[in-house]
Amino acid sequence: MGSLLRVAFLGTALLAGSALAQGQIVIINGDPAGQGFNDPTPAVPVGGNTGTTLGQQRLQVFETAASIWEATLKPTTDIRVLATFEPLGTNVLGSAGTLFIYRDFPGAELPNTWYHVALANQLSGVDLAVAETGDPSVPHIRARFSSQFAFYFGLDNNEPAGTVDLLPVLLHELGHGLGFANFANEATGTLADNRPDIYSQYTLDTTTGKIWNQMTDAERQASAIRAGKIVWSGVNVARDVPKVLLPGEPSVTISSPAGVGPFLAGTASFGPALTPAGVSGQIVLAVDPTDAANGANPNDACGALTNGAEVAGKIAVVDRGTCTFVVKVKNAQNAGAIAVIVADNALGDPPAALGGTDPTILIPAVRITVQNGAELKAALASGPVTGNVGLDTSILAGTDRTLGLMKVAALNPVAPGSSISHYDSTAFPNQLMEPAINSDLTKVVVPPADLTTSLFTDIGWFSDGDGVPDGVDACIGSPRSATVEIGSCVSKAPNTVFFNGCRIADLVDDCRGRNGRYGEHFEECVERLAERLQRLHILTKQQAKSLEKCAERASEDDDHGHGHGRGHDD
Amino acid sequence: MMRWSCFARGARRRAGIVSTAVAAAVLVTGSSAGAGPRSRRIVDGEQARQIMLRHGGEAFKPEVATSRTSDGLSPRSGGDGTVSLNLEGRFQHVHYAIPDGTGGFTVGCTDDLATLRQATGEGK
Repeated sequence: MGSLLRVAFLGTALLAGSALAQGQIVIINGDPAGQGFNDPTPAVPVGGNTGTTLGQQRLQVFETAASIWEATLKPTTDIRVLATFEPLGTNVLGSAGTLFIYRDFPGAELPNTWYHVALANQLSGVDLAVAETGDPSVPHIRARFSSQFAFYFGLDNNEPAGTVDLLPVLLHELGHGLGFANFANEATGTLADNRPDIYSQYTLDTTTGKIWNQMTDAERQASAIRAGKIVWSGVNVARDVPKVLLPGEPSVTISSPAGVGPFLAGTASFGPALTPAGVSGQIVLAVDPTDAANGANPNDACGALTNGAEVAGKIAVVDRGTCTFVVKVKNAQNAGAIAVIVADNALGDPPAALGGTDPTILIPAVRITVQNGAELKAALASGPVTGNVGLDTSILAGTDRTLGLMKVAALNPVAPGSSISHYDSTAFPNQLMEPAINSDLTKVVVPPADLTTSLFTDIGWFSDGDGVPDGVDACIGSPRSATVEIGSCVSKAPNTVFFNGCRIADLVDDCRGRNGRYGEHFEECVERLAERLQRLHILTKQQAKSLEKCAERASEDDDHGHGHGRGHDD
Repeated sequence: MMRWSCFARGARRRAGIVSTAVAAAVLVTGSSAGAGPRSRRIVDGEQARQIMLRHGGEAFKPEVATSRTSDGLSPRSGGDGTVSLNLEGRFQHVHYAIPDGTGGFTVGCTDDLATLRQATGEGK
């Protein structure tokens, strides 16, 4: 990633930026005495968290999350998070989000487009909320977390089974507050104040080819439930996807009869992980008793299977419902099944994971949607079915099959806020900004572990102010000099910026090759480049010659191992 | 299984957190000596209480936090063309955990009220 530049716009004049002092993520402890961050209840240090009271441990997790985002985003202005621990209700862990959104501020990459205030501050180089309100303490993000929930406060991602690690939850929620969210209502398709937002600028529907900001409300409403078809189109996420995601989409493929499947599958938190080879065999429907103890559904596998002889050595299909997933899979395993396919009993696309824990389960299990389950059972009713439960390694897990772009979470039925403002849950390794927090998440938010920062790059957190929105900018951090400079030589060639955000200086730099040295090959490359740019009337003959002279001079300097000092080509 | 803790009220923890007054454009210069993994500005005490009163004193309301509409919110225009919208606590993202019946949780993020009510056992 290029050096972070601040961009300042004065009127229409584009001014060169410079490295700025780093802002901080300031935590405003909004808790009253004796509560939340101030809770004096003694606590034993755990997992690198040295706090000795409950309040101290909570604060250390907040500070750690703030430090991670701060080191990653390098904010040029402070980001103030008003934070509390308070009772939030049963099963609610916490909430967070931006308090303000801004548009048409100095430095905005796109006009008429809403930005989270923290990002707007970064782009403009000033604290817009302070400038507007006159209140130097106005918070940008509100974060509330449950004072009733037994979080794991360690900082080592080593939470015991049955607990929830606060750090990734906090990183996730702050991520929303920093920009990982749209301001659309996916249930109705409406936008905040009927205007586009920067997140929706890169939300692409592969079935229509439209981005969300181009759609009508009705089109957005329809798009929101196209599971597997909505992707992130920003160039930075696209560039980083192969560095982060692994091949292998969880799938149920049907080898016979033809025309059935393949089905996208949700994986299980228990049993062995799916493999590329997978488990192949005949697929059969499990049958169990239909009594009060085992449920009325004869295929829910909540009791010992009555067709064990038929299931043994085969892949069992069971219905979701009545009992836990581990009970179903264990009953199938006891009957000799080699894998289990759970057919959902409620609408939900993509299929969710199978939760639960049972170390005695030794066969793989997956979930498929209710529609795909019906298709599979219809095939079973017509004759023998054979297939495989495993990973489809022809695509990167979490990307779409047509463009290879990262999918965002289009859920059917729609879940506003969960839909679209998250990465798709089929991504692997699991990503911080999936709707579900998985126990294998770490505190790393950059590639090659995670794609959150790549998306932040697309929406402008590291803008070089070249007028090209960063989601389509292939050269973020381009040299901003008015004319192309090679080494210490300042040429007369204007440092023209192209539609993709790259400048002539970037093209010259590419001539240096992998070793980064100047030399004969560099000179020849720059000469060819200068000729092409002259033919395209981007450079005059004099400018092209000036560029070539600078390349020659830089090579001479390189050969002699020293520079001649800063100068011009003449 | 989910565990619930009741935290006793007690004397406010002060050690390790120092706040200072606002000065000019500098909001706060404080430190969390020994309490955190690195030096960080933390605002607490009376200044934090005042900020809470101005900007965050209301109780958590799921129906507000999960609201995805800007109806009733008024954009404010500045002289330089900048426009802001105070979301007034809407468009927040809510994290929930549902016991999975085997001692663990399904942990998810939403700002859909129906999803949240289902997670909290209010929706059947």
